Amino acid sequence: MGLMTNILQTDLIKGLSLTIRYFFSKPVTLRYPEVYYDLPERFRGAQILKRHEDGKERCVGCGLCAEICPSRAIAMETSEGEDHEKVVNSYVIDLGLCIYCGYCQEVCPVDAVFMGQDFELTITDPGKLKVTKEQMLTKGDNPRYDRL
Amino acid sequence: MMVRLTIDGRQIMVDGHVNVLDAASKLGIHIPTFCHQARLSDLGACRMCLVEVEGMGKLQTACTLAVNDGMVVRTDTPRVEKARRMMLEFLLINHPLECTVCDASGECTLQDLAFKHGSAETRFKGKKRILRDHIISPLIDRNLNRCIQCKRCVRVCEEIQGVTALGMSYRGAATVVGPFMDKSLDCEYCSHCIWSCPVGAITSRAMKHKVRTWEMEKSEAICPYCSCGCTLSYNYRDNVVYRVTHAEGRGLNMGSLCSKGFFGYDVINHPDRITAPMVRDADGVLRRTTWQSALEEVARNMKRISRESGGKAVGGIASDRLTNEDLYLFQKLMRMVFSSNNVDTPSGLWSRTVVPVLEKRMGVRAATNSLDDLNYTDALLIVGCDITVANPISGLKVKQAIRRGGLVTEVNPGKTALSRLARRSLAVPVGKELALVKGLIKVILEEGLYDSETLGKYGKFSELEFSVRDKSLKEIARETDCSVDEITQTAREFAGAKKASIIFGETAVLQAGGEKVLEAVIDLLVLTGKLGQEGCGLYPILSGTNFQGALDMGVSPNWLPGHAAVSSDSERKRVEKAWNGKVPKDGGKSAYEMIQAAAAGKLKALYLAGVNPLATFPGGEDLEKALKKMEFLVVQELFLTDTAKLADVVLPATSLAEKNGTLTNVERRVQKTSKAIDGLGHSLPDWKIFSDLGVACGEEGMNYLNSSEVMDEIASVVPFYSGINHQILADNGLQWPFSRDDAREVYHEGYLGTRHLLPEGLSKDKQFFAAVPVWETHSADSKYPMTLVLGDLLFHSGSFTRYSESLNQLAAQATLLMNPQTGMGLDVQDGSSVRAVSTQGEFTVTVSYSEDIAPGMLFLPRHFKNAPVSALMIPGPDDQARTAIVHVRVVKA
Repeated sequence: MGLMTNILQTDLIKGLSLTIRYFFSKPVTLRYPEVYYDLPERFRGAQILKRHEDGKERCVGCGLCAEICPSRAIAMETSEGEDHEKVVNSYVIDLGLCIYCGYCQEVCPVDAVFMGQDFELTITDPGKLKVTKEQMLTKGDNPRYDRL
Repeated sequence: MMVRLTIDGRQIMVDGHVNVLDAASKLGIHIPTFCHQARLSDLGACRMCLVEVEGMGKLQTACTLAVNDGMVVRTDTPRVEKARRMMLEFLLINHPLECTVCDASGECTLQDLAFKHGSAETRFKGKKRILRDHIISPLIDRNLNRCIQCKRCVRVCEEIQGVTALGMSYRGAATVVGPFMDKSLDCEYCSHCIWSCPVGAITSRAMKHKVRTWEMEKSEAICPYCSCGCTLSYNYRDNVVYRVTHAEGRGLNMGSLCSKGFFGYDVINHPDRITAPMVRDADGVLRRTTWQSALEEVARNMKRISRESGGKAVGGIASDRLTNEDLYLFQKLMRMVFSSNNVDTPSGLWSRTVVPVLEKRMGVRAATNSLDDLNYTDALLIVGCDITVANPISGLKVKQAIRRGGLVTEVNPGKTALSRLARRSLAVPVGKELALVKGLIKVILEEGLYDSETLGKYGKFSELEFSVRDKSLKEIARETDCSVDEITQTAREFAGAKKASIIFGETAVLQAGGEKVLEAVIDLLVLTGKLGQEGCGLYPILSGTNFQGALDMGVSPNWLPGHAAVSSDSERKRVEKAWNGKVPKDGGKSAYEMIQAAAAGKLKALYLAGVNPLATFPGGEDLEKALKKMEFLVVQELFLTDTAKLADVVLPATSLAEKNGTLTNVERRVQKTSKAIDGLGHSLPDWKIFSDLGVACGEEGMNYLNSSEVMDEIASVVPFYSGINHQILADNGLQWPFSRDDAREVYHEGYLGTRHLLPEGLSKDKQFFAAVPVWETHSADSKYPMTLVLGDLLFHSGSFTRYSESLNQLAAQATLLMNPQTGMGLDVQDGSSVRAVSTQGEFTVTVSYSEDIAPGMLFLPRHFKNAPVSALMIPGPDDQARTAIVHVRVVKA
């Protein structure tokens, strides 16, 4: 058996035929970063914040996301506003700490925070992993999150 | 009478006076309720505690149902459960579901009960009632929509605080809670309403929307603001104290707090705190440096001056706000390392004025009884003290006594918060307190109301009778602005009461001759036999937080730790042996004498720990000159105060929330206070700084690992602290004297140490009367005709609370208070500005009319920068605080 295979080189032919077949078929991989993979709807990327239709932030500063976060990635500072309402002064998520579990989205009672589609988080300055409220709101303004 | 009843099939024997709710809680059965709170009367307003009772057709409210023998109660039937669910449904018709932003969320009873018993759906589809609300106060926030009308705030305001600032208005569904006519809140800001609100209807504006309740950790500590020593709970997150909460049922205050304790926490994380040591450089500018170089600078200079000019050229003044451990190490450092007995607290009032009299007459050096006794007193005489300001929580105990029918007579120039409640309020002018007390003694002697046992011991009271012979009761009455009837009635009530005490306060001691009033007060107690038992005693109450501890720790020029006289060779030897060092033989200088010596150039180095003389000492500009003249000035502080700006070295200390230690309160109770947050920046606890400085001076005996180790040394040096250590103090504190032999007692429930002194009465050599004659006061100088009292406000404590934004919202500026009558006489209007002139100095201040001030008298708070009282106070050989009664002239500005 071994001898015949050696003489006829059938392994080589088998392998080559596979190569030749795929050479002429459609490619499986994507030409990232020129081309993007179409992410599933419930993909859990970096968080975004949504606004109401009138442009006001949805977040009321209840602090439940910060409380439920298993890796303590969320820090929130709130205070009393001019009309005695609650104002969120700063809302920072440390993406270096975040484990992308999606609990924050799950717990949010006012549908303000969502896991976004953004997964390109490579940076050169670790400080930039701390994402501010303004950055998350801008991301949330992207039309691809309109369904949320 | 004990009764037996059955709750949920379990039997229990309880006292016949309790209600079903309390009986159930004894069995560990929790009945949900909104309107019930310990210490308050029961109302049955919320209908949440409904239970089923056999033989009663309808469901009953457990909080208002008294127990009965053979009663069978069920708290867990479907009928009860359904009633609870429906009650919650009713409450939630109008209660807004804004838990996401409500500050009470997380500790809201309605939230908890709705979660446990409520249904997820509501059957009421209408609109929620929305009431328009407005801000009623700068510190207390009211939200009418969230209110569930349980009336707890109204009851706590009336029954515990006795203020009645809140009430219910309108009827039925329109009922709202609020101040009279829904105007702004005018009250003592005691915070009880915030504490008692089971929902978020009344909350603190100081922490509004800043933090969620579940994010904070809690730590129990002792309040730093007065000598009462209340237990409070610091709530902190990320090394920031966000609020103070009431430690329910804990401490001698049972959780109650006053405005200072509840709102005054914002000094802790104040942005102006000093966070690094500073040393004055060659250019004369204070620059931040390291601890090592700052301590070396202090050690080098202090040692040099002590060596070159002798220990007498070195002095130290430490605040009585510091802990026992801090104070002990401070005097050890000054005495052993810098060879100086010049140690004192800013007000030597206690150690040099009150204590010598107590010592001479009774052989004690503290208040004789416990503050808890005040709750049950039958007759109480308050002399020269606004107890609701000096010690607000002791004031609450007096108010409780009044509610129980105690006969309280207040002797005070002007009206106080107690005047409205007390049986009698005698507005005796400053300086006439002695005449009044002598008047009482006269009545008791004439009517034979004295204690028969005392008569048996003394035989006769000829000396005392002689001392009150000169003046008739009528004359005394005229002098003291009282009627003869008032004096006789007071004397009869006091002598006739089973439990009677006397509170003796600052205004009486402040004046020259204050000792005489104290002597007369003790005469009165001895004469009526009201000493040495529960409910009968003397409470000299001063406001300094740890004034008793400062004396016990030996922060006094003439006393070593444990009240040992410096002059006694044997006592000095004993302390020297414990320290393994030398203690100088000569007595030291008092705070006032140190400043005088500094002005004369004899005192060259001064160490100020937590003291700001420029704000509180007399002398104004002279004082500033004296401090500037100082060769070396060290200030250990939390803030860069006016005094700290003059210093050569500024050392950053921590507040009471950032250190462990013990404090001794006015009733001799040694209590442990625990650290809540870490010291801000590079600041260190005071004891640690003294310890490090001692080591920097090459003294290994000053090396301590922690404050508990310092306490162990205190226990070995101070005989009446000998059984005390930090572990044994863990719960409610202990009243000294407490020796090692008493240590086993602490395992008994409710044991608090020595509750009252003198159980065997006065010793043989103390059995005499001082019999001071009815005192003739000299009339005021015609150039300075007005008597100005420099006193405290309820909302502030010394110059320290200037840094509290919250308390400044309640009172930020000093105004000169005077009776409208006085104002008309001087032709000054309410709100106009005047110049107050004393022989020492003057400044301009705004006048404000107040009916509470007696005519001819003036009152000025001593906390604020806009009225630098230091300029008016006249330095004198009397103690610094004595100068707080000043004769002034008021001129239109």
